Amino acid sequence: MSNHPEVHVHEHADAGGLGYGTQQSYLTGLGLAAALSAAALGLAAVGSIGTIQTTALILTAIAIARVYIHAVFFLRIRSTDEGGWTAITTIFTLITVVIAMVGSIWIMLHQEINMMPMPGTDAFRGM
Amino acid sequence: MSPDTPHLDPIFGRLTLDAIPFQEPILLGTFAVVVLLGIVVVGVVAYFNAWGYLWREWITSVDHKKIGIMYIILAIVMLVRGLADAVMMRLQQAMAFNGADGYLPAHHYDQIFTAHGTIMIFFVATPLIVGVMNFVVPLQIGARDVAFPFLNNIGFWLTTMAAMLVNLSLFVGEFSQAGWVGEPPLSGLADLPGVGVDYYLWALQISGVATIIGGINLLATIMRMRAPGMTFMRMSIFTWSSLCVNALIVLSFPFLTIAVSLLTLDRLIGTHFFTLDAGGNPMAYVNLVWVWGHPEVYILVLPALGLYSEFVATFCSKRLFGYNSMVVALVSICVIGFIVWVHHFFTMGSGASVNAFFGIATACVAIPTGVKVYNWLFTMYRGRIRFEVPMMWTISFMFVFLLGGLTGVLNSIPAADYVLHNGMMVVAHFHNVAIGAITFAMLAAIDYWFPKAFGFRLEPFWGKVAVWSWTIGFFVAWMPIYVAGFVGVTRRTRVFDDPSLQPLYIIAAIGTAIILVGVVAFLIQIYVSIVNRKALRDVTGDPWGGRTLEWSIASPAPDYNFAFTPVVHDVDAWADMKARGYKRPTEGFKAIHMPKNTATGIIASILVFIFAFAVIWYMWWVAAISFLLLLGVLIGHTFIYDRSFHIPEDVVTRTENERTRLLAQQG
Amino acid sequence: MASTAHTEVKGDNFHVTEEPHHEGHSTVIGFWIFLMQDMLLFCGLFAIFAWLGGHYANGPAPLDDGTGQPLFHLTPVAINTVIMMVSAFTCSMGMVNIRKENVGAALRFFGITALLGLGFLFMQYREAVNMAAVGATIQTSAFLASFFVIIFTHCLHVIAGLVWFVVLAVQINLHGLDDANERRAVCFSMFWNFLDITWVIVFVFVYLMGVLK
Repeated sequence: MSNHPEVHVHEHADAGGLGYGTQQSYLTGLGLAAALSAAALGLAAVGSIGTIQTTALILTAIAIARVYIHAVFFLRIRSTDEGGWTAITTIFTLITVVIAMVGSIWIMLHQEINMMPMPGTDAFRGM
Repeated sequence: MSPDTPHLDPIFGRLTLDAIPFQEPILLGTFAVVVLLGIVVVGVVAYFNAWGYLWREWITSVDHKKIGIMYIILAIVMLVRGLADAVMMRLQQAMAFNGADGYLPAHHYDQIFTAHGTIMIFFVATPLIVGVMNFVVPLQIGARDVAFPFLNNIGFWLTTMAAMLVNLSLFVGEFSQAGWVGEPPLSGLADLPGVGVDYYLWALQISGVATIIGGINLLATIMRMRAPGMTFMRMSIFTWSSLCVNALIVLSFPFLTIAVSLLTLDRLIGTHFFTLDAGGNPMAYVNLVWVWGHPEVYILVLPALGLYSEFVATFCSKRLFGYNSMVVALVSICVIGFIVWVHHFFTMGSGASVNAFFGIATACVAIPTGVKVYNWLFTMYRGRIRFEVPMMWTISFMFVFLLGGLTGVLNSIPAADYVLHNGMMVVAHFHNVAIGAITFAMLAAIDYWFPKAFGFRLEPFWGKVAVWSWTIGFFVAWMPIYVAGFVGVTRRTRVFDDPSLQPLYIIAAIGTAIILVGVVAFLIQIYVSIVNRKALRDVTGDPWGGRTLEWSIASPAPDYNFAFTPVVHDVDAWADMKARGYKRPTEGFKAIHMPKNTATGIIASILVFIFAFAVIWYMWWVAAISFLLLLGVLIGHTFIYDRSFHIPEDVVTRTENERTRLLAQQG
Repeated sequence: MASTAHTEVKGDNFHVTEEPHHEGHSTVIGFWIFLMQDMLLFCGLFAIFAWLGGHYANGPAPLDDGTGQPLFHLTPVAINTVIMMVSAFTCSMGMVNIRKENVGAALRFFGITALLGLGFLFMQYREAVNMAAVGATIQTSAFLASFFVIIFTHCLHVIAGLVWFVVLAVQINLHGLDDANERRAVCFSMFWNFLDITWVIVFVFVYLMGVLK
């Protein structure tokens, strides 16, 4: 063991990188976000490319790209912020989101297949 | 607003005199006892003229130690309530055979089992765990405080107000009759139009929000306030388990908030999330509630496992065996805990593939848990075990918990679950785990850290009586229930047709009485210790030969915890310091920066309580006013910029010199 | 801190004598964790929408409100998307000025953000009124309940953001841009950016996927 105390107390004296971007990064982010949103909107307005599932997949990809752009250009999340904790908490939250969403949809699909239809469940959209 | 209340009083909403249960002698008797106790408490406080002291030193306090202690007191009070419910159920079930109807009418019995579950999970286990974490974690990481002291205070008061809401439902109106997770459609407006479910929902909502607040606070504390040198792999296992648990809290409680909010909307404004008509689906609630509910199980159990790790290492005077594997086991339990929730509703009928996945994932939990058990055993192996009370709890836990874990694996098999679901086998299993892990751990933790909180140890004799009574009582009370489960008795049954079951339930009632002896012994232990506090005084601050930082400071811990922030070089920092001939600094103390007390927490919480009560009873004007006031108080709080003060240098010096003197006296 | 008499580590290396934490050291990470749990709140709502979003109960559906007209109109939704996007930009520009300690410009940018937020709320209000006109309310069906609860929750967040802006503006006027207020501004901008991200998800998964044919 080292005999020198590892003192790193004032490592975060400033408010951190989170939320501090530059005008340049914001403009880039705005441009990219606008382009992606327009693409998504156009896709839905025009109708579908191929099957409804393909279109939904493309839309999902656009949404993920849009969120990613926002996180990078606007929120400026970096893996080094706050001693890496913002990145770690975000990753764990995203894992939970994926587990809860995928799990719920999977469970629900099987339930709707296996159970007697209930009143009002007249249509089911493949989301 | 609500569809079925045509004649709503504009002032009192649906609250009338009928809401007060005059016709129920049991409730009236309870009410009388509560009022009497209340008068006694108020009288004692008034006699010692302690109002100012209570207000300054406890109610408005942001000291994590005091908040932790208050959480534990709340939990013990609610434990008595929850236990009374348990005793009443056991009596009813022991009596209601051969055509006898027992002494509890159905609607009352249903409220009791619902209240018992709700209270034990939300207002006993959770506050105990949050309380112990609050008290211990900052001390173990060498911090003087938590990251958000005000949030800590308001979190405690919100929990208390939620508990008060449950207690109030005893005397004004009724409590839910829909079981502790309140599953629709039974908990919908169509089946239970009364206020019971609303009390339940608001109590859960408030305590859920309070738990999230507390979780964020402790998470940020562990992330950002560890002492210099305390890297991840130098944190104590209890701190590790607290980190995991608070992450689980933040990750899972939002789902409870959503489930409860949507059910509230269903009942309040007539939406169709979980109704049987207009496309609603009750299973959507069940799914969402268990997305929260299973991680919640680990939220309750993991701190207990962390505590046992501390006790085993301390009372064997050894470093914990397999520290790294312990950490890996903790984290993997957290992750697996998120992918097992369907095992609570295998019988819904999601089919073989879904059930198989979640069943196998459930069984996998046994692997990291097994790692932990072996690590404890290997720590004890060739250790010099000191049979102090916390260690006795630990050994008792190992027997009880092993059994509970094995029956859990049994339950995890979907095919078996189709037979066992909603039966007494399941009830026996989760009580087995909850009592063995959580209750034992918390009682042991109270014993263990009592000197750090109050400066004197607890009298061991009555502690040992409590250990033996709980352990024996547990087996006598729950083994018959396992048997009942295997012969197919369903849970929540009020009267029985089959007289051959009666002996089982009589034995179970006897077991409950033995457990009751354990609880009384615990209370006597506290009383006797307070009386003998001079003889039991802990001068050294390290009565157990502890290994973690909290034992390096005085007992009771001073307000500022550490006169100097410690620097950590090893796991078991204090053991390392002692081994390397650490000398406590006796001079050069400086003023210490601390957070100021605040009254916002209690005021805001009382307003939340009033708001919830008003919404439950449809008193819309009260709800509106209290909500606006709440908003005002919270915004007003953000205008307080001066939130800290310094404990002056001479106060610190005086406190530390007193400790120097006491230590010298001891020689 | 207060006394400077003993600044070195004393004798051994088991202590530091300086104050280990400055005020507000955990605010940003704490608020970030709060936002993460907020994200999970929305995740719960989306899980419910995934489960119930197709249960129209013979009532209004995204492409047919009962009169043959679509229930979801993309034009106002597109306007709202632009509003949220631009407001995230102006909010971030506010932060650029906060960092330059250019308080007036910062507040102006935050003010534009809040005005855009008001516009967003107005558009949402209009949409709800139009839907109510064809009998599509939160009580109508499970689909509409799960749809409206997402929209309302998002709007509640926007309202909270507006209140926050007003309070922050008052506080910056009262105390100037001290450390505490700067932290609050950082959190405010994180919050507002989070709202935009949430809206992207609502926009794509609720509206756009709802009108796919």
